[in-house]
Amino acid sequence: MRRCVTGLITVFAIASITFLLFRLLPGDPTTAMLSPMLPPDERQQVRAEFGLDRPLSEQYLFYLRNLLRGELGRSFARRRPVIEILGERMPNTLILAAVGFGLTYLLAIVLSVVMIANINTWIDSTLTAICLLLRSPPVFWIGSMLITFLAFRLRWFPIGNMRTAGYPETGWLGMYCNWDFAWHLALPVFAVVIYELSFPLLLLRNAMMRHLMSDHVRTARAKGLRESTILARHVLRNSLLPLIASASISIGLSLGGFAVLEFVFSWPGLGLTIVEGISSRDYPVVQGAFLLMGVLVVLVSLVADLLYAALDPRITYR
Amino acid sequence: MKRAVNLAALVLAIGLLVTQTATVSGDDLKPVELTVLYQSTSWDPIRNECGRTLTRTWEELGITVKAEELDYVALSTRIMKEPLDSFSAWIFGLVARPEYLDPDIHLSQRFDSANVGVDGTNFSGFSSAYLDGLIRAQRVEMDRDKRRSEVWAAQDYATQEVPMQPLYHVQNAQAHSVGRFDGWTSMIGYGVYNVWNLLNLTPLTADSTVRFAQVTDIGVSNPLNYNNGLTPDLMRLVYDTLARINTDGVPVRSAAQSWETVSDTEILVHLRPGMRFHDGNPVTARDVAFSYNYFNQWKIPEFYTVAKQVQGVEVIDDLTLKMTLVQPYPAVYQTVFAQIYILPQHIWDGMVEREKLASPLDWSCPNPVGSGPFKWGYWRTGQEVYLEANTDYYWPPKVNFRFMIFKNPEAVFMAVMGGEADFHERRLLPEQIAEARKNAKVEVTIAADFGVYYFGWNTRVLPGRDSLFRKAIAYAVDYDFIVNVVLKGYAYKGASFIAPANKYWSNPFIRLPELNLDTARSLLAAAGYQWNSRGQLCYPSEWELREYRFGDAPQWPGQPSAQE
Repeated sequence: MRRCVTGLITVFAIASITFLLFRLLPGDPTTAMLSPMLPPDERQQVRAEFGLDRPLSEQYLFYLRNLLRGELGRSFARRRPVIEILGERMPNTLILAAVGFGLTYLLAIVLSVVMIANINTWIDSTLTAICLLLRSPPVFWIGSMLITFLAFRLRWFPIGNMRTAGYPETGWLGMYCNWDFAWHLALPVFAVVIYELSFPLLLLRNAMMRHLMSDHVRTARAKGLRESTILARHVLRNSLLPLIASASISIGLSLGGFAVLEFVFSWPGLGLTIVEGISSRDYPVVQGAFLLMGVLVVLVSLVADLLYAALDPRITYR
Repeated sequence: MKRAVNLAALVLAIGLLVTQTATVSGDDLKPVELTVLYQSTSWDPIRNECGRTLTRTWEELGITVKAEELDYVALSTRIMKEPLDSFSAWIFGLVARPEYLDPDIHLSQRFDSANVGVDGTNFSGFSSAYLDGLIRAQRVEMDRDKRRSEVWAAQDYATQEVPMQPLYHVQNAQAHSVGRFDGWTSMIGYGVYNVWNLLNLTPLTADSTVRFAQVTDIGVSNPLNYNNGLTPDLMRLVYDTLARINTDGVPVRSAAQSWETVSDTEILVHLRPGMRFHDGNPVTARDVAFSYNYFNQWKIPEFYTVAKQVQGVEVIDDLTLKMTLVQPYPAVYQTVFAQIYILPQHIWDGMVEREKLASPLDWSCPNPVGSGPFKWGYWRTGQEVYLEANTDYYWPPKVNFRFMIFKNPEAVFMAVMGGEADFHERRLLPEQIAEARKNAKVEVTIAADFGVYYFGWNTRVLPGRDSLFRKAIAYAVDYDFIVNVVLKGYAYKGASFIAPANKYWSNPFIRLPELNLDTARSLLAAAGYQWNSRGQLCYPSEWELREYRFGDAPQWPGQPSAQE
């Protein structure tokens, strides 16, 4: 219950801060929508239509009132309910995040076991070095390089977008459940894996190293258990706890970085919606998107806490 | 005691000496400081580099420049909103759109003193009764040649006073695919993204869908929403207009088969027979009358500026109407006839009440129905728009049209180079032109553009308020560097505000001075400016605002007059 209340307060704070933050950005939203040659009276008409001529306090109260009713307002540029726009874009980001992070953490687990099984050998050193190297460049550079070499030069993957234009399928299943979508998803997921892999991998490796030296592992060895069983059941399982704790923070931070990735890959997701909204000063869309991201991070954090409790019987929540 | 007195005398002497030196060296004068606004690199690397070039050159003259790099929205707001004295100069541009071919938009929006002020389009705040007179005269002058002489005189005067100075006019370079379609047709200001191209293209393979790559989605499918020009470019394919601008920028008949001028303010229009909307209903004069009244009634932003020129439309019969203008308007065919869509009255009449909306702009219009050369297929937001050829159109296209969205310019370029798209809208950067020319699968077309990229002075504040300062700094623009280095030769030096590519209206005698810092310094010195001991340019010690006399506009030394 306390977690829920904290979560609600967090969401309210995010809503208020984003409202104020974007109103402080320099620039009048009507200049993004309309030609700079527009006469003042026509510009004023548009401003009045969106309530931009009202005092800030009045705009804020109006915004809070709508929020309590579950409305995120109407986009200035697209003149559609924000919730509709975000509803179209959010699944695209969630799918990219789920597949990207899912593969990242799976690979992290597999590779960390390989590294621990070959600890202090050239395999361990090489994988560590590769990890650190892959983490060094920014994610947009990784994305651009993948597009340049694998898409543009070699034509193994598409330049961007989610589907090949003109696809015949309709509906949600038609949109996402086919090879064309998977083909378009591959490069952005690859970029996520390359960029995000090093942190969970090295974290897990170090945690497993500590557990290798622990008493319960020594006992398991003394009992005559196979090394693979010791690694999987005793070392890995205990090492997952710090990984889960950090995962919620990592995923939360990374969702913000998806704006860059979605821009590079022309992926029509939430991050790209934020970029478009900021450049066109489409306040309602950006406020709604930030609020949604905040809610997602709070939810991911809650799920992480629950998973933690499930994995570690010593942990209980009162 | 004697020592103290001597010391005090020594200090006093030194102080007097320093003061005298300062007075003699100009250190008590006020240095000229400019706040210059220009685009950030991410927004426009070309204009950003132009801003840096100007800054460097002006600093050589001893001017202290504070540069602010802003995105488009922030910059537009700064030059339109209070405080209007927060900047000294800015860099901006007017892109080439067919509706900007008529000179009125350049002259009245930029220079008419009626447009000075908050939200006004005369960003420099420049005010001249003489220029106002010329601008307002040409706006209602129906004699084309007489109008041109007024337009030329206005350009000449504006160039002499330099409240704004054109920097360059680009050459519009675009790439399109080779081997898939024949009949590529370029249009002034638009390149190959124009209706004539789509009407002329013939498929050379079994695939008859031409693919267009663009950075920004249309945002709305309601034709009444301007959305910064993105929506009208597409909606002109779906909706017809009485006239269209042809590839040379001249209005030609479209939905109107013919028109006759009854008087300076009355035009009789005869519609093309047999036209139908995409849902099968016939296009009649009543739909045309309804459309003009609708745009006026709801004051649809961007279109209202044009629609309000129409006082009324009278339906004579199914295919004939009489349009009455508020005043003589020489640009009527270019703007009023070519920009207002023919809306189906049976759909739009009463729509606001049916859908319970506050304004027709709020309607999502999920399936736009027009009478243009293309029918609306579908719109997958953020991904693509598909239009089908309207085979019932008087000039039926042989291709379908797919508008694909790639969210960044590099992806658009790669899509065309890699064969995922057939053409694009945004012009190629100079370095991309070289790469495109090496690609056998694409062809590069380059055409002169009538857009204008310029820097302007805020004439509300010093030093921009001083016409002699502006005239001196006119010699401090490195055009060679901008054209040959920044734009790698794919541009030509700024001339008039009405670009030379706009052949009929551009004054061919306009010549802006070449870079010459010595001349700039001489002119500044003659105007009373001085340099202090630190090399900073300073305002005259006894400042007086220079006035110019109308009809006797001073010229730069050695410049030919427009009449020569």
